[in-house]
Amino acid sequence: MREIMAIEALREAFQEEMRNDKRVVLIGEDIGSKWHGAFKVTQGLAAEFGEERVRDTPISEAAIIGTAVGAAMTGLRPVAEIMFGDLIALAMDAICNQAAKIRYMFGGQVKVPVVIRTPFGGGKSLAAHHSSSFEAWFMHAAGLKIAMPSTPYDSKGLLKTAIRNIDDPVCFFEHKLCYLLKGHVPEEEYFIPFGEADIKREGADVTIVATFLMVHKSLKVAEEMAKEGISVEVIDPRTLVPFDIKTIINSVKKTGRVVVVSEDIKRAGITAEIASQIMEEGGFDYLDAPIKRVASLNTPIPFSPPLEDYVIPNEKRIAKAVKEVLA
Amino acid sequence: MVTKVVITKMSMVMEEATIVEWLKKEGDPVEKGEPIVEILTEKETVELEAPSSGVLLKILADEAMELPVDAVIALIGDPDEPLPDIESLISALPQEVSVAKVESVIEEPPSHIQSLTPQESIPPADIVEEPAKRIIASPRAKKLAEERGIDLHYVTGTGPDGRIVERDVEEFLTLMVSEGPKMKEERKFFGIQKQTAKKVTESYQTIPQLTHVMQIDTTNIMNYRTKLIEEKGIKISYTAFLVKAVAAALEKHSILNATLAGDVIKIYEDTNIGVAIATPGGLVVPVVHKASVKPIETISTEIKGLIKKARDKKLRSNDFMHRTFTISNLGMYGIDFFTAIINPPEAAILSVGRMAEKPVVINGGINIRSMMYLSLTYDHRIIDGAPAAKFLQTLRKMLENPKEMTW
Repeated sequence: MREIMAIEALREAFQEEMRNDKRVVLIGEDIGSKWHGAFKVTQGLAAEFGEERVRDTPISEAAIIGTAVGAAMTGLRPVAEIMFGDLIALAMDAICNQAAKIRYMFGGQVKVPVVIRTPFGGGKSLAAHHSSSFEAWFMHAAGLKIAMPSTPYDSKGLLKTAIRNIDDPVCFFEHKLCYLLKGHVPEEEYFIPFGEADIKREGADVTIVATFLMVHKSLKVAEEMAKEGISVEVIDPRTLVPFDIKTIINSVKKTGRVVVVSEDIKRAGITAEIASQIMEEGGFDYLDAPIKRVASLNTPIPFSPPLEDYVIPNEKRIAKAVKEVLA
Repeated sequence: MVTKVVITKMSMVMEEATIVEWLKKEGDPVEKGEPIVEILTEKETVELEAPSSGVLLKILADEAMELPVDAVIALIGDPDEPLPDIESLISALPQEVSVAKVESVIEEPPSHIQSLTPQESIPPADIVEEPAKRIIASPRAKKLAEERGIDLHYVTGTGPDGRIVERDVEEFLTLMVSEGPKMKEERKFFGIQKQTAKKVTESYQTIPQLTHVMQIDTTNIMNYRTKLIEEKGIKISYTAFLVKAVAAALEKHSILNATLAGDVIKIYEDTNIGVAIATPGGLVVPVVHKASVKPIETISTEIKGLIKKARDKKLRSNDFMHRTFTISNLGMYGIDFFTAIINPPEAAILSVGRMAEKPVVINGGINIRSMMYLSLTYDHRIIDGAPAAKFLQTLRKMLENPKEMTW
């Protein structure tokens, strides 16, 4: 099977979905023919589908999302892009109060099939306004579905599902450092349903639940641990809403030990939600050690590379947590 | 918050404890971890520590009270804190003592109890109990233990801070299924062995037994026996000599030829001497009846017959009947000296060791003599030390001077 980068996989998803359905349109800052998006995901799309369907906007996140939500309500299937995840805060009302609630408040008469894409994550020394991971904010809001793929394969399969098969607003979060990672992506068309976690590596001694770049860091840790005879299972939930707790519980039944790893801030972060769900949804009796969480420190992401590395979880911290739950 | 002080389980086998001494009195301030009472467990006296800080509000259990594990013996809390239902706590303690305690509470209620109205009292359920010893175990370990019926009290935790984790329960299970040490065979405890066990237990538990020990010179009797073989072709066993000599000595010291049953001491004229014989099925003690009146040759033949019957399991009940005294001889196994347990209702038993050559001082010179230990165990309820000693004296005289004996 061929190997391509996540940005290429995402681009393919757009190409396939835009060819398949004229209602699919893209809207965002600098995504068109002049700059192709900050991470070049939309490269070539304006050329193929025209500037009407791949639309550059002024610098106004609220306008981008507001427009996309209105377009979705009136029959299009827009995909809106916020260039950096931190800036999505400017569009929170449109996302959490409007997009997320409209179908509910109109008794199901209106649907809002909008996909809101934005990259999260640090590691590139982009400072506190361009490095955050805010997925927990959206997980906390009722009415939104959330995907956060870690691989090219998952990126394409989940984006196609978000565009074509989900008639509700989807927050489609990407990670800056996952964009250029290569992975197997089949030539033929495929979809990945929401709510299905993926076991990235099978193991028997401890379960790591990780998202985004932390999946890759955890896989490296698992590889190192294997040399010590410790068998680590790595599970990527892939979508936070809906959340596949079953796969995780089944893993916990096997291993009895869990480390939840995420790049978002630990306090009230997604690791807290995942750990709680494990306790509530049937994992408790199978735990042989308290669940450990590895997440970013409760600070803005620093600009200084050494400090940034200190704040964001690294392999060392993950390995330490694994050892601790195995004690 | 009122904290209950409970008798803590200090070991796996501990079921109860006795209050030895209260180290604090009511009203004393106590610190968490500070010893407040001494208790006596099966093993030792230990100090029980205060489970929380505060004031020792109420002592519920008096000194010398025997209490089960988890019994509530005192209450700790803030000085002006309302107390829970003292009476029900006291009545939960062992009954005979609790009556007195309830009365004392009614007679002199402490001031803070007087001010209590029923509405103010805290129902016992609201008291936060300081658990005797909380078992720290992971949910997984607990679940496994529950499924397999394991009491986690018996499992040692190897997790962080001693937490019991899955591997600990698994290891315990492995130990359990391994059924302990590898076994060669399993036997039923029954028959002669069980009867003997019952008898020796009864004897050991009910009879105050004393033992006198005497070493005798057997050189002469050895020579005498050899001479009989050489001159007359008669082979008499040493046991036969012993039986005959004992019977003769018993005639002279008949208090040793006696039984005690209930309030009756029976002293016998007949000397029916039991000879303990080890058989594969257990110990048997057939009897040579009226040994004192039988010639040694008859006794020797009889003993040989009894031994053969014992080995062939052909002993009949009349072979055991009416025994008045027992001899147990382990000399043939090289035993120098041992004590036996009296066969009730008999009054005494003679244990015989081996004959061995020893350097013996006679008239200031060292001689090599054949020596043997006799130990007489007797029922001190009916036999005093002196008569028992005299019996041994007589016996020694007979065995050391065989030529003067009428065998």
